[in-house]
Amino acid sequence: MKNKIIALFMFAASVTFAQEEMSVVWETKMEHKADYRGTGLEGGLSYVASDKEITVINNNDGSTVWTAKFKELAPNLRKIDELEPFWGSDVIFLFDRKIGKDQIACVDLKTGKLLWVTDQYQDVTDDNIFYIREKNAFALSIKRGLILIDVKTGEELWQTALFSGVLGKYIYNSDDQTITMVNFRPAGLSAFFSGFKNQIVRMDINTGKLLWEQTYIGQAERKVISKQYLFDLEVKDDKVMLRLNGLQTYDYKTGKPLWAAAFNFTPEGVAKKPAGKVLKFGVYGAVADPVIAGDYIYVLDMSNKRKQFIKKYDKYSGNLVWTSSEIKGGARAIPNMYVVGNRVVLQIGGIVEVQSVVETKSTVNGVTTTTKTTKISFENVKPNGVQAFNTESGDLVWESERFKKGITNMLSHGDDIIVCSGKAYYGLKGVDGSELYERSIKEDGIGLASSIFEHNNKIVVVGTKGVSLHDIESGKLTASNKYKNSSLDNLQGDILVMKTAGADIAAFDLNDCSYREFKAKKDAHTWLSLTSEYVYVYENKKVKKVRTKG
Amino acid sequence: MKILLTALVMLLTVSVYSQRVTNPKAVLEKVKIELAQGSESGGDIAVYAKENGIKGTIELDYVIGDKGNVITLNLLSSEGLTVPQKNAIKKYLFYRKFSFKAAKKSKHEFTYTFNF
Repeated sequence: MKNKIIALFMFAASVTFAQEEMSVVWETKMEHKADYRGTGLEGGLSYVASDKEITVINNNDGSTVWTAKFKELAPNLRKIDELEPFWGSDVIFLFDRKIGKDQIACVDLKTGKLLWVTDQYQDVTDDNIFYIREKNAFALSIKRGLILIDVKTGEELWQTALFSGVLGKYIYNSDDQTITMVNFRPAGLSAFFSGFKNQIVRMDINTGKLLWEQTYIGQAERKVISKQYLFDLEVKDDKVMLRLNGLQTYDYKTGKPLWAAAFNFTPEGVAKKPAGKVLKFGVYGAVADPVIAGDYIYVLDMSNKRKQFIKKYDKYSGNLVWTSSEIKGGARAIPNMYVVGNRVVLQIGGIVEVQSVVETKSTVNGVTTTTKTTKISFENVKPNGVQAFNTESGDLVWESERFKKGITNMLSHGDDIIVCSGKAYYGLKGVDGSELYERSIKEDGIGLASSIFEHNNKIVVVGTKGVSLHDIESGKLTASNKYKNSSLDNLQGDILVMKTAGADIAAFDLNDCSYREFKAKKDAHTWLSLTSEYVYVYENKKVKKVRTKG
Repeated sequence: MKILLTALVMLLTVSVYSQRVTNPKAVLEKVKIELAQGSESGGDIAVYAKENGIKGTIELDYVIGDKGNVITLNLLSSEGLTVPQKNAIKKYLFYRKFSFKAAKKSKHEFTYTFNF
């Protein structure tokens, strides 16, 4: 009987913990290395390329759509140094650098046909190019201005010297064919754009002529690896609103600045640069976005390294209502700010995102090889804490001692907040900071929490060794699943992908915390489809499409 | 004495060069004269076009700034030129400066058709 019980227990344990492998939808092998790779939408195309050749594959079945050596595509191309797809226009740019004789080729991604090739533009990188869908044209930023180039022919439609840097975000007006746009200087291109000045302009897209031009406060940026923009542009009620280190507004018709609640901030020193020759580096999420609550907007002023404040503005007039008392403790990062009830609650310190591109050189038998290593990581910035200010007066009302030892991140929930320390998460009353509950993560069996977020009325705890779910109201643990030492790699819909240092991945279903695993080869690149149904795995010469569910 | 004379000549040269053409109509007349001169046989534009095998017609919409520099150049139409030729001549003309200055902070728009 005892043996039967043990056997039953073992069977039950195996049912609970045995994890299924992700099933392989298709697998395809290239004839060349995969130094570059990119994944298109479901039903679309993906590519794998070495510095000499490229293969484009069909995402449905993994079949080869076309493959070619670059020198066959364009006689002047040999080894490419950079490759950048522009999915919206179905083209791929190839960059071959030869000091003073750089070649840029534009290739149709669907057919492999060379559209055009040019040596007119020197020292240009993929960061200098922006696709404007409405004109099916590329805005290419050169040292002296901006050129609009027809995608299919490479013909320059217009060129202006009045726009410096790279086109960031734009708003297109189909009625009068104008675009309102913001410029920025990508990381690593400071020398290239030496005469750069901040600009927000409205331009006739057909002629390149400016209707108006203004400057803006702050430093518009795009993440150096994942390429998301860190600012936003909107036109509403004849006002242009730029969300960047606060909010800045302009009259849409004339460009006249209306009001600004924005402050210069550079996250210098917030996180350490990696060792070696750092080509690109950025720290993101160190300052919370402005919060609009009722008729007011709350903005963080972190322009001074030693003293930081919250500022409250009237959202219609831009009038300053109050400046808060000084944020205590010399905050180096304030990743989250929430207005709950009559409190403005700040998360001091915690997790920030760091992206870097580092170049390393190694010499073996007299042959020097240059390698570019890209890395996205998360660092915890100190000091840590939680502070709350009165929405009426801006005075400090309470601060929590508990989180001085550590904090990952903070969420708002009704009039309360939820704060994670790494070992546990806590519900705090927004009004006075009193503790509503403490939920230890220890029994979840997923190591320490690296972050929490809300999903379908549940708190998702992303641990260092797995994922758990808690009911948001009761805090009760509803599901948990242990995995290897890993970190959050991607999140789409109900699927959360954890990835180990060795590139194994687990796709967690956030409905019940079950997961499917795929043991990829070391250094494999993985990409979760936007539909969350598949992961594309790029392993040296192989590409695999695996299913996240069922 | 020689030094003084040299200085005077230099001063006059600078003052003539930096003299601003403030009348917008005069600016447009001047640019058209300069472009016509450049396009004549032996002119720099004609020489560039010949060297690069450019033959045909190209109509461009110009905006020039107060320092005689081109600030916007827009291709309106063309005939007989390949795309690389259009891009090349456009680039040459974009970086080509006019010899005079216009009124401070002024901008001047005009179209010009080149026949090569």
